[in-house]
Amino acid sequence: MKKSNNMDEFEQQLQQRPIRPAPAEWRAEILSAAKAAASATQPAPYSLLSGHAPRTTQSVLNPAFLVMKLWQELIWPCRRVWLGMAAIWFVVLACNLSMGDAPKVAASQMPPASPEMMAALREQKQLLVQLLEPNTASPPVATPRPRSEKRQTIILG
Amino acid sequence: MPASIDLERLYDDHAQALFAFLLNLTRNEADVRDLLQELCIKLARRPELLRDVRDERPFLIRLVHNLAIDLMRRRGTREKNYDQFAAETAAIFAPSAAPDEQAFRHALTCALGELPTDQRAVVHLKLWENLTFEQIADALEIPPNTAASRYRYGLDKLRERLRPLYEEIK
Repeated sequence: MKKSNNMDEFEQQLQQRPIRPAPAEWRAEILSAAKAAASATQPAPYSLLSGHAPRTTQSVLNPAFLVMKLWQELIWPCRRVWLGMAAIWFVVLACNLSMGDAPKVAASQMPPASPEMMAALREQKQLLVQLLEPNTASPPVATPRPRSEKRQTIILG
Repeated sequence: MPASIDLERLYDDHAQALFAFLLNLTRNEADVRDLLQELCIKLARRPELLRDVRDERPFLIRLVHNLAIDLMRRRGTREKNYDQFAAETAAIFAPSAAPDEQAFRHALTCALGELPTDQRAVVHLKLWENLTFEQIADALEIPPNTAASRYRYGLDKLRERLRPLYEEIK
């Protein structure tokens, strides 16, 4: 292990402590597992007759596999967050459902209209109809003229 | 078919360093083995990962560091994380016949275990891999200043923890 000239004595002393070697039997086991995994992921020859996709592609496209991977990589690591969000949405939904009947209840609880109120409403309705009906006797509405009306002065001479 | 990769050469060149780093990081030999195997499988399946890499060691350290973080996340926070593993000190250093030296190595193992994982990673890469702060920053995907400050904090804690014992055997 190279000693750095910038390190003090304490650091150099720590550096000198050797870390134990990796177990020798790991080499063969790990390398054989890696080679087996590498050969397993190489796609099988595509069959022109059957037209089936290679097995590895099929396994990746398997919905159950995709769902499982999605669960493992996306949902499970942050399950508390997802549960919290679901609880919030549940509360929002419950509040929305409970408030959904409020307008109908409010409407049903309204007191019946009095005769005076009914008469006032009829009068207002007639007034509205009169206002909306086209009135031919009335003079045409003057179109707005431009603000700056320059008078053209022609000098003869 | 992906280009072949000399996995044996890679293992012989880097496995010991990666083993040491992962052992100091995880404090769990079974996890180290799983992570080394996962790395080799990844490289065997995707040899193009090493195509444009000039310096293999920091690159491989970055890969295994990310794999270790992923493993910790998969286990969730309720289970033990690598900080809590500090109490369970797997033997990191080679044994020594001298009792004082063995005691110091054991104390060093414990002291390293008491460091936060991020400081422990930087201290290991600086002391036992002799990487520069730029290389450490690249491997751990942190700014160089962060690597330097984590190393200073970690080393100060080690110094404080080990000074009495270190003075004895000096």
